[in-house]
Amino acid sequence: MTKRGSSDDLNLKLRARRLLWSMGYYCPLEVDLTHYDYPDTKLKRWSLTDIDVLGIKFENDLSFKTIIVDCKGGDESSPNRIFWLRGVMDFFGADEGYFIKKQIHEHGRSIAPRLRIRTIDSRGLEKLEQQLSLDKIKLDLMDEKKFLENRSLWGIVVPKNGKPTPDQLKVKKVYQYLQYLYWFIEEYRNIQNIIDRFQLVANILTPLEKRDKYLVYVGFIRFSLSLLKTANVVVSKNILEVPEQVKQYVFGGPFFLREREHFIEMLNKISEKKIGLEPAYFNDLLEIINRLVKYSQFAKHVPRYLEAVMLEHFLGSKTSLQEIFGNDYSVDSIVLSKQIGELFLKATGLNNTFLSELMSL
Amino acid sequence: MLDKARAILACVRSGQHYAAGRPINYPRRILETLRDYKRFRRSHPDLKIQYGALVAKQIGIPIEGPSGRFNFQVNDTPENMKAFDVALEMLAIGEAPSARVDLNAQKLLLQPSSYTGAITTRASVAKSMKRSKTTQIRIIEELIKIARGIIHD
Repeated sequence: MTKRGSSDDLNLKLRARRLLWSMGYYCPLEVDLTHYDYPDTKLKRWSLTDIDVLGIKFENDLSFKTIIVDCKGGDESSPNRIFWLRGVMDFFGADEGYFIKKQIHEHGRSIAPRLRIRTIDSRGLEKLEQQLSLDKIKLDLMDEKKFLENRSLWGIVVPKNGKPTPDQLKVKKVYQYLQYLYWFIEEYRNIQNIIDRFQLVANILTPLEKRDKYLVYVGFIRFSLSLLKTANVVVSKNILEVPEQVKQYVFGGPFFLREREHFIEMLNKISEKKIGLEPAYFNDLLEIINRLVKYSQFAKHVPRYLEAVMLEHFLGSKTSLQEIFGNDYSVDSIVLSKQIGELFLKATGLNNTFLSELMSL
Repeated sequence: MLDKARAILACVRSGQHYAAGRPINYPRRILETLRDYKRFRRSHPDLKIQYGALVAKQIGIPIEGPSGRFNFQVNDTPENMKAFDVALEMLAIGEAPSARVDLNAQKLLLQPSSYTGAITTRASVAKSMKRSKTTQIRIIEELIKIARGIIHD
C-alpha cells in the first residue's frame, strides 16, 4: 500500500472530497495506482502512487467526467508537482486535475491551465467552501476520526508473527482486486471479475462482521460504477441494441468476443456438458443495464446514493437520504440502486443481509 | 480417486525404499500428517523430487523454503482428503495382507505399475492415470473462466 501522507494532507483530502461531492461527483479517496509485470512465472505488482481524491460524475446521457485531486500540505515545488499530476492524469485517463496546496507559487499557477489543472490554495479553498455553502452538506464527510476508523477496516487482520489462514488468503484476493486490479485492468473486465472474486468468498464473509460488510459495500459500489460505464458504452454506440452492445463490451469487443466464442465451441467438443460463454447471471445483467440506459437521468446518481448509504451506516448517522440529497433526491435512483443490489447479491451468492441498509429504504 | 491414492502411496514408498538420505520409517505417520495438517512439519531437500509427481494430479505443490529445502502443500479438497484415506487403507492392506482380503484390490495393487513397483515405473504410471471426474469438471470450469476473461493472478 502506498504511504498515505500527513494529517494536513488528510484534512485537505476530506475538504476536496466535500467540494467534489457538492458538485455531484462520486469520490473515492486514496485510490492506489499500480503497474503489473510478468518478469518470471509470477505476476508482479509495482506500486506507483495513490490518487488522493478521485471524482467521477455521470451526465444524463451517462457520459462521465473524471477528476484527480492532489492534496499537498508540505513544501514541495508546485511546478514539479503539477507536472507530476499531469502524468498521473494521463496514466489514469482523467479529464481534469485539481492541485490543492496550502500555498502555491505564482509560476505554478501560470502553467497549470495549459495542463488542464486547477490550482487552489488554502485561502482559495476557504472562499470556495463559503461560496458553495459546503458546511450545509448533511452528509458528514469531514469526520477524520471516522474516516480513519473506516480505513482501518480495510484488509485482513493477521496476528503478529502469525500467518493468514487459507480463508483469509481467499478474502485477500478480493481486497487486492478492488484496491489495485480494479483500477488497472481494462474496464470491461471488472463486472465479471468482481462477481467471480466475491463468489469465491461468499461462504466465508459474514454480514455480522463489520470488516466484511465494508468490503462488500466497497465492492458493490465499484460494481455499480462499472455497470454505469458499460451503460455509457451502450448509449454511445447504439442505444437501440442493448443486448448486442453489452455482450460485445463485456467480452472485450468484436474480435475478443469471436475468439472467446470459438474457444467455447472447441471446449464443447470435449466436454460432456454443453456450456455457454455467458455467465449464469448474464440475462439479469442485460436487464439491469437496459434499465440504467432507459432511466439514465436517475441512474447517473447511483454511485453517490450507494456511497451515502455506506457512509451513513459506517458513520452511525441517522440522516435520511432526502436530507442529504435535497432537491436531487429521487426515489427512482433508490429503486435502481436496489435492483443493482439484488443482482449483485444473487450473482455473487452473498448473504442477502449484506446490503440490508439499502434494501430497507 | 484410486489413481490419486496410488500416486500418493508411490511417493511415500519411494521415500521409504529409495531415499537419498534417511529413509522413511513410519509411512502411515507421513500420510496422516499430510492429510491432517496439509504439509510436513519440517522442510526437506528431497521433497520436491519425491512428491513432484503429485502436482499433475492437483494433489498439491512443493513449496520452496530456506536453504534449498522444500515442503509440500496439499490442496485441501474433499477428493484429495478421500485419496489420503484410501492410501492409508492401501497401506494397511500392504502391512497386514491377511487382515483384509480383497481380491480385486490385491490384484490392482500388485500390478507391475502399482505403488509396489520400482521408482522408474512411476513416470509411466502417472501418464497412464486418468483424471477423476471431479478434476475434469474443475479443469473445464477453469477453462470457461479463462474464456470469459476472468483473471487468474
